[in-house]
Amino acid sequence: MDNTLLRIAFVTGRLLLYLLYASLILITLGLAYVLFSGDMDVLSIVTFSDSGLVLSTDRGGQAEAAKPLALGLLVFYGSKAILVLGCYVFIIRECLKIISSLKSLDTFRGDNIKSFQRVGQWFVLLFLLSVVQISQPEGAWEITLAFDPSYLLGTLVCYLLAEIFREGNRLMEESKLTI
Amino acid sequence: MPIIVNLDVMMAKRKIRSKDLARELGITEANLSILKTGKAKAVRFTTLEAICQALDCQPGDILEYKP
Repeated sequence: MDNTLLRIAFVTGRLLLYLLYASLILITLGLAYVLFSGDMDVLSIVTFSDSGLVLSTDRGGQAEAAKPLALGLLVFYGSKAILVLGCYVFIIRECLKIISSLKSLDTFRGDNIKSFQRVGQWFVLLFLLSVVQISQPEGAWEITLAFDPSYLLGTLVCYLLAEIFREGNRLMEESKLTI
Repeated sequence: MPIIVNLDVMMAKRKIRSKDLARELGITEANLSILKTGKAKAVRFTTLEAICQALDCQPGDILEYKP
């Protein structure tokens, strides 16, 4: 199908995927460098503030509010970032598969049902990853449990779409077998 | 499904090949095979009419109900 909107969605998805791959590689390499080289000076440029993790060599303006990140926290946030980016990579890959099927006029094929279910499962993982937040204000460890319902809403929408596509698939099969 | 399609029986009686019947009905041989083997979920009235015309028979000669 020659649809401009689908073409734009496909190209945007592809670009986003490459961007995520690059970020994933950068974060993995950075984390591996800190862990295996033992270069703790790197930790001084990573700070933690109310707005989240900050990577900056300029400590002037933030010196009061931000504190250098402990190695444990860096590992936690690094691993979490890798997992979150990994989830997004899988979600976008599934979305690209679905867009490809729309382009080839094979919208209600069985694979799309599985794709929507998988995306729903990745959203559940993203929700679980967003639940635990660790910070170290004033030198003391602080673990926060925060529930972000937006990921669960994403899961719900994905499972709903999977059911709609299942019905569409059934109707398509029935239509194919009507002679 | 308790609906039996006796299309192959009628075809044998009329001595007509699948290829020829498919061409006459305007459907593919694959679709005719689906119909013959009873895998079809539904038959359009237009298709049924074309089959009856091609084989010179009644719908009851092709479709049978066996509970």
